[in-house]
Amino acid sequence: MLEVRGLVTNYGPIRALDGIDLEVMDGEIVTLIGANGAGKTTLLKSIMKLVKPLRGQIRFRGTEISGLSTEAIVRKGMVLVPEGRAILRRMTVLENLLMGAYISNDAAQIGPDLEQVFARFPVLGGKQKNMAAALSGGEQQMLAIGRGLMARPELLILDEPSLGLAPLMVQEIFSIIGHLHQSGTTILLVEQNAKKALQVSDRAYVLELGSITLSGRCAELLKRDEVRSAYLGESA
Amino acid sequence: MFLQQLINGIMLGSTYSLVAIGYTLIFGVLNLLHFAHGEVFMLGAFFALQLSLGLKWGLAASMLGALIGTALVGFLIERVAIRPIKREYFIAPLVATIGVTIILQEVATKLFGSAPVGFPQTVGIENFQLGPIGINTLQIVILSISLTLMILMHLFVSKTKMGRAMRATAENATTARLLGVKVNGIIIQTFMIASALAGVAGVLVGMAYNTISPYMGAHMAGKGFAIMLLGGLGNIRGAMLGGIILGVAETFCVGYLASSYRDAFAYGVMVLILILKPSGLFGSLIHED
Ligand SMILES: Nc1ncnc2c1ncn2[C@@H]1O[C@H](COP(=O)(O)OP(=O)(O)OP(=O)(O)O)[C@@H](O)[C@H]1O
Ligand SMILES: [Mg+2]
Repeated sequence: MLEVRGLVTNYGPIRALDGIDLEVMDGEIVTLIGANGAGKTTLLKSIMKLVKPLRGQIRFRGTEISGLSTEAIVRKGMVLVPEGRAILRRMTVLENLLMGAYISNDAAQIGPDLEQVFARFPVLGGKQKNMAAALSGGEQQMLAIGRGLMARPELLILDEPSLGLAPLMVQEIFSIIGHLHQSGTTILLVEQNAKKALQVSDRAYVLELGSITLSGRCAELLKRDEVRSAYLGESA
Repeated sequence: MFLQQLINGIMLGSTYSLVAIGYTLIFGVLNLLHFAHGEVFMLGAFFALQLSLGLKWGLAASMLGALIGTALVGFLIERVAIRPIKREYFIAPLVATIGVTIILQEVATKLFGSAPVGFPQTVGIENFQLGPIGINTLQIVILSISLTLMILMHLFVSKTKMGRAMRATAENATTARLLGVKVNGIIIQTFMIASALAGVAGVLVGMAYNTISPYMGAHMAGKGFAIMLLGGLGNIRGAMLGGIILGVAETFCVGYLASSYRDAFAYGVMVLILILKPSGLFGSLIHED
């Protein structure tokens, strides 16, 4: 579904990504793990054209998309839920969700999709008319994810969806990721919570200082000592 | 007397509001002070004048013509002077709009002369007396057109999908892009709407004062800008109410103090409000990204 080859991105003179190869197949959940500052967000932004890569190819469902604008990429079915609760604070919860469905051509779909989001996140249903700025941090994160779902993405990219959430909510987010996977959505996930991410995903990539240093099936990576000590907080 | 002044002030102020809404819309999506907005207002008046004198169009048709004409002017300004300019050099787009101001003013003086010209009497004037308040047909027409446009604008921005996309872009263009909003399209649409509102305001002011001049834009630009500050940067409702506050302040000054102090008084009130409430009466809504 998504195929990244030789992606290089600089911030000014600083190399942030140094030749990334990454692939996400139809129906997979793929996790990207790495320390703070490794370049995970930069990689997602480069894929979405929020930052302009220096070189490299990005193919989505077989077509080259590196020449497209962010909005055109979104319209092709790839949706990023950015890190840090990028909600529209001056709009209501409902308006945020409706903006999620901005690219939808089927107005009849919006009502049922809203119901589904409210079923997944009951808190949001009760606060539809509230300003998004007045939500708690965790609620804002749920809104950001719910808004991503409203676009009915074929590939949903989540940048640290569980950041700053209470344990129960983290559990909830991962169970939603599981549900989405079962209903056929392909997911690319960036998570600090490496253990949970590796448990829910099919394959993973480890990013260190702008390069992929390790990749493979999660079941195997979970057994590797270097992964256990560096990302799962276990002594080798 | 008091009520009479109030009505007069609201009428005058509602034309200011139309101009200020445009300022604040453009500021909202681009973080740009659109210097030439006053000249678009002026062109609206001249378009209507040409249509009604030259082509003998009626009031409604001339006004519609001015609306469409100024929307196209807004389109051209965005295409020629805003989009090609790199926004990273934050002062560059501002300078570009100053350039457009000068060009539009010079073109208008070449075409229409620099002296004020009479604006045709467009409405048969009839006076009505409602108790102590006297109001005439012209005032009713001006007031209802500007209030209707404001209500439509409010509904557009708060209730429609396009209006939501415009607000999303104004709040955070990156987030809007990630939702699939074609931000460039929103910007051009914003310029067209803002310009059309200014164009209609130009016609209304021409009708109210019966004279127009190529320099009327500069005067209005100062007011529109001040109202935007008063209402809060990027705040549409603030621009609507701010315009009416300024109009009322002006007419009260003329009525109770002296007409020569009218601008000084109005701007004085505004400075006072901004000292007390620096983000404007209704809060600024500045672009985040
Ligand atoms: N806009 C920017 N300009 C310059 N350097 C940047 C910019 N954004 C990120 N960087 C740098 O690029 C590197 C990668 O940052 P990035 O945000 O991609 O890391 P990350 O893996 O997402 O980290 P985290 O887990 O903390 O979110 C860091 O060294 C960071 O300082
Ligand atoms: Mg990050």
